[in-house]
Amino acid sequence: MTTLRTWAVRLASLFRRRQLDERLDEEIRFHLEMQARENQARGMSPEEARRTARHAFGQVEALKEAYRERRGVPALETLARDLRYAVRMLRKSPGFTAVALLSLAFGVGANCAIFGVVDALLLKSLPVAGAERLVALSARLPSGELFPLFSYPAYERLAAARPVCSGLVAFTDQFRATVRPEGAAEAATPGRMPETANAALVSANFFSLLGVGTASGRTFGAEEGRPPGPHPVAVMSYGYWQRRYGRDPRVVGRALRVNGAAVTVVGVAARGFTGLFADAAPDLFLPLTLHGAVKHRGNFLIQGSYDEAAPPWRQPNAYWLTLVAKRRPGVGERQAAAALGVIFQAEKEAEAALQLTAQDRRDILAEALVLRPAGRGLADSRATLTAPLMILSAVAGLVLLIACANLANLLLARADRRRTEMAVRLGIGAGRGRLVRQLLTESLLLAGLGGVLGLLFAWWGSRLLVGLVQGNGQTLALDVAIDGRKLAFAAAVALLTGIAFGLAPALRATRIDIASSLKQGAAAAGGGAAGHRGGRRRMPLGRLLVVAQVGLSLPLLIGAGLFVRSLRNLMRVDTGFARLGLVQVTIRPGLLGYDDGRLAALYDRLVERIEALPGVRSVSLSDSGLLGTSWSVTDVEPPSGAPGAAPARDESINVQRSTVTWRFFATAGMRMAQGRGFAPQDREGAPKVAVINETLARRLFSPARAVGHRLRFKNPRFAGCCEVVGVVRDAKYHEVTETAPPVVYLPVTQSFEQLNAIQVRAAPGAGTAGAALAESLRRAAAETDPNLAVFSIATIDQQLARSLSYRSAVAKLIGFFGLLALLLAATGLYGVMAYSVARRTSEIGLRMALGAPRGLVLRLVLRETARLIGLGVAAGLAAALAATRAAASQLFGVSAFDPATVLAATAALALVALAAGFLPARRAAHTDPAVALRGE
Amino acid sequence: MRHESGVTRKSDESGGNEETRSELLAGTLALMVLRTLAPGPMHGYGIAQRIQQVSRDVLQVNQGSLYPALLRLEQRGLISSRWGTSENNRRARFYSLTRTGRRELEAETGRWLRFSEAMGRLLEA
Repeated sequence: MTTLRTWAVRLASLFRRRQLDERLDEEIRFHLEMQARENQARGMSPEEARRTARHAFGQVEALKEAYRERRGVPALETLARDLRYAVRMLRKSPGFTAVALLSLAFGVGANCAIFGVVDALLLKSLPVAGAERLVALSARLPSGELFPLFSYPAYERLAAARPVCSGLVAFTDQFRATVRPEGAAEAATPGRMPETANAALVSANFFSLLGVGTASGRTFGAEEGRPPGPHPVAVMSYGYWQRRYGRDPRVVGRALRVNGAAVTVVGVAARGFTGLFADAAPDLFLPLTLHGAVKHRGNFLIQGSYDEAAPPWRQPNAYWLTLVAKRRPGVGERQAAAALGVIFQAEKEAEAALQLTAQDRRDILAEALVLRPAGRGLADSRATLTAPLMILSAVAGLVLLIACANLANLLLARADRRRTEMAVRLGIGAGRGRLVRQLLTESLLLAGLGGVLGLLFAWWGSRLLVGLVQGNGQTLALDVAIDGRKLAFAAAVALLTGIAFGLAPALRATRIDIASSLKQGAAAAGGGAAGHRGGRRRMPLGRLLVVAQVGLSLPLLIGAGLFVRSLRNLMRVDTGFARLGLVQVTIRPGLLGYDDGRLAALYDRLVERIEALPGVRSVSLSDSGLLGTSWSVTDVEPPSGAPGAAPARDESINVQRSTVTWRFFATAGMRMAQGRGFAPQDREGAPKVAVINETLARRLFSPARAVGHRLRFKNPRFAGCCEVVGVVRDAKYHEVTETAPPVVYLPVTQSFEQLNAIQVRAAPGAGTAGAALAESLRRAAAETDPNLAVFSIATIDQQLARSLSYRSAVAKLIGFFGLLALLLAATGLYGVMAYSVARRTSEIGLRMALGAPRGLVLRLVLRETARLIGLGVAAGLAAALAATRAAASQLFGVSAFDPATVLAATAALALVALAAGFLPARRAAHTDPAVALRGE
Repeated sequence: MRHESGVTRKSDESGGNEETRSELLAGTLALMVLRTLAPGPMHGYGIAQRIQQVSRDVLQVNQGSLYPALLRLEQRGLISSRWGTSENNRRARFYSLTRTGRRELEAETGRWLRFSEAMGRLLEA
């Protein structure tokens, strides 16, 4: 009861602080006056009476402090007071505050931005019910690889495992499709990019099993998605609804045309749900049964004999679906795997029956089911991006450490400058804990403000990061919006830095020998106090921090150098085709709905039309473009004891098959190693021919004698194919880091395919400069067929840069961080040296008065600087040796300890650091002895 | 040139001592204040004088430490205070016992007597 009352009174007194302060003052005044009067009455002099009264009363300030602590809610009130004081102190030195805040903001922001991407890709749980019970299915192939795709019949069978799973969902990768509201013009502007969106096909139970609700409308009904369909309905993602339709509720019930097929939007999925891939975000979810209608063009792999006429849900050997099961509560992963495994094996029997060779049958039956947790979403990019993200996290962490070292150094220097103030406050009775608390408040305030600025920086940075870090040229759809997790992360980082790097300076600042500090008041104000000069034996904290900064910056600089060199090496890789003046156009003739004959005619007209353009030397088409991201594969049988054959193996070779028009090699600038390329006479009905690359030639034949041999394809579709007429040099087909796979080229005239890329070789000096050529290419495409969708026009160099985007992003970021680290370290060094010079002004003045020349003073200070740099560099080289090795897998064409890079980075660091130390040294050398000594 | 000072008075220690002393005396001081106020209202200086007179040479109380104690008693509702005029016509804060304060005084006095009686018996035995 009394305690409650006490607190009520205390809280209330928070609001009448001034009144209470005045009351105490008045009481003390009254008390001292009465005492003095009494003392005087006892015969003391007025002076003595007052002094004795004061003495009997005790320390007035300590009393006031004690009184205040009793008065309000002390913690709250002191905090408010400390905060006010801290703000005042920070505003008094705007330079210090700005440097500290900026370095912190960069440190916190960089870490937060990278955390955002790491969180979205690697840590965060999907916003679905029971995410922890989701498992992704894949098949372990005899080779040990995990194969993530299943057929529809497999899905149906596995979904029957009700005792262990509450359900199983099937879905495809997202694919780009033309999407336009029903009724909009067929092609708004001929030759322009049509409106597109990302679509994914999903099973009927996709939303219901995952417990995903809607923002509007409904999700799929139990039958929508079940074959035969077609169920022309769609569920829109919240993001697309917001972006494209401004959250118009009338979108539900609207008809869309997706790749030409009419579908009705039945609902909008709940906000934040973007499917089960962590790095993809489909705009439209469509039932699996629309596979044919919307011309699904994604992974669709067939192994064995295939009946073109049957729908995909009757093909046990057409692999196109990703499967995710939800375990029943209490069912372990192993138990689920065992139950599903039994069904899986039964399904494999059906698949094996469709295989063409005994080897394939054995391989299929040897596959085993593997379950992996899917609660954080599936992500193909996880494998590629984990290592670079870890490297970036480490780098950002180092930058934060360097920034914090700066902060600690700034605080130390300031604390030193405030020694007199501290001594006075301690002298009049303030507790040390109280002062430490106040100094900590200051550093925490700095850290807090830095954290807020850092969040702003991170908000911008994550977006930049996601934009930069593209997986294989396709932008990652990662959700990196600022959320509670990121706020908590930033707060934790800021708080920890504030405490960790504010505590040491605060403790040091308050560990003062009061008497000597006060005696030296004036001197201390000019810098320096007793106890500091012993620095020769034990390295003072400030210097230690600078050595650490230099030591941490060096690995960063070396790393930056290594990554930039790797990137340069990658850009210079011989791609096997002539890049200068080569432009590639991506088209989707498949969306036109033409039959093969009409398409073949379209290809001819396209080539003709574009070749007629001024400045164009030659034109070709191919099924997937140079440096493209998709390709076809087929199996080639080894030659059976033909003369010149390599030792026969009983396995067939899996080769990439590329279908091209006859001038492909000339247009791409790929050189023949033997034989010839394709020619106009390789037309339909003529003897079937093929060109193979060097790798395939090596694998199948003795390398120099491949021309003239016959290839045998396993797929019956290529019966009678074909004679090798040429061997083309190996090239880079998808990305520059790959080692060449075996490739076979077939002329489109002899084996028809949809051709989705046009290569255009500009005449030398024809000003390949994009815009004009791109415009005429678009026009040519539109004039050839106004409905032809042109998806992109890019020079091959642009495409190369895009395929290297995540590597170049990593290189750029590490380069940026390296420079930032260098800058921070230089600032730190400058600060420490400037401060040390200021503190030793009188000593330097004395030396000069005694005849020391300026040069000597300059050398004296520079030697000190060099010593710090030397120690830092030594530590940094050791650290770099360990650190860069860990990054070796991400480097290309440069060793982890490349001497030139190490030397250049060390030299750059030493030079910048020396320059930072030179300014204070010059100031020291220009000390006026007279002024310096008077100051003392 | 600077030199190390010989006198090293660690301020944190002195601060710490102050704290323990007042904590130790808090209960005793409170009882003394309540007892002093039993006859009637009195200002801070008066209370200090009275305690010093009665307990001279036994209790060395910093006169200043009286004021936080007064504030605490007031916050606990055991005493109340108001502005008044002193003997020499100066504005002074007068403290008086509340009803709760009077009950507390009786209870505390009883406890204290029993305690000192017990201590006395123990020490004389």
